[in-house]
Amino acid sequence: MSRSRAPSEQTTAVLLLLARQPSVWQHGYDLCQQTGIKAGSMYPILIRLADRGLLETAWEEAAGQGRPPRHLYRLTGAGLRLVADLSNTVPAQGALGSRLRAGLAGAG
Amino acid sequence: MNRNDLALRTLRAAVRLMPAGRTGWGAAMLAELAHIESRLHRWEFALGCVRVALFPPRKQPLLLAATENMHLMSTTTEPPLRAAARGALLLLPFACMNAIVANHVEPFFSLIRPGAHTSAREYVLLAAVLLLILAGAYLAARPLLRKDSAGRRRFYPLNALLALFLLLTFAAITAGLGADIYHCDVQGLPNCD
Repeated sequence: MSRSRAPSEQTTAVLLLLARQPSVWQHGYDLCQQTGIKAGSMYPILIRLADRGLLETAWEEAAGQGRPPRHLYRLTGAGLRLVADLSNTVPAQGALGSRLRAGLAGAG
Repeated sequence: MNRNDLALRTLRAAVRLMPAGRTGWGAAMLAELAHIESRLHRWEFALGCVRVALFPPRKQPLLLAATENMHLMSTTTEPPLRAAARGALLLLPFACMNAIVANHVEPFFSLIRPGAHTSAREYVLLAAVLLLILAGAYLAARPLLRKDSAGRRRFYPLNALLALFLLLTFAAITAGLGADIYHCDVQGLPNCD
């Protein structure tokens, strides 16, 4: 039996950030910096989103400067649909609602 | 980043412990660490990732994972004697709890029964240790349920006896306690203690 829970506020923040520029690949550390979420919370969020088919992952072609290629993230179609659905369920007022509307505006 | 980078070595050591299905994420965290310049931020990032490496999210819900483990357990070829020993070991928690409560062994007794009377915590613990007896019966009986390559089941007397003993023990204790709880707590008979 699968459950469907509303995403946590941190997960929502990550979804919103990724939805702002849906076609752009993002790095894990950059997501941490932009959301203020620590790596210890960010990666479980990314892992779960990827497990649920909401997040697409890829590796950089080449990093250069003797550094390994980085892992890249962007929302899948299902992830974008989830963000759109969230806009109908979160309250119009409050911090989450404001961020969500701002995220959707950026995505549009 | 240099060869003596302790943050990287710490994270690399933790990533080696990640389950097979999550090693790609370990590589992702290591690669990301390689791109962080600030020493402080490297440590902050690495320690967060160490936590993820040691406790990665489960691939599936707990109940589903447990069900799959049960399936794996039923198809393993564990020697019958070891299965019997494991099953018998699961009687120990009940025996320990019983000894603690009967002899008021401190500090465990106060943890189990903080007040003067049987608490909700004690009932929950009791249910848990009783269920362990049932699990022990299953473990002991498992070799009897197993089929060999020819599709036949073999009979192991020790395992059968132990499984039967554990089942009877579970039934007797549950029935006895159930009757006690019914008379004292449900019917409220006087002088029940």
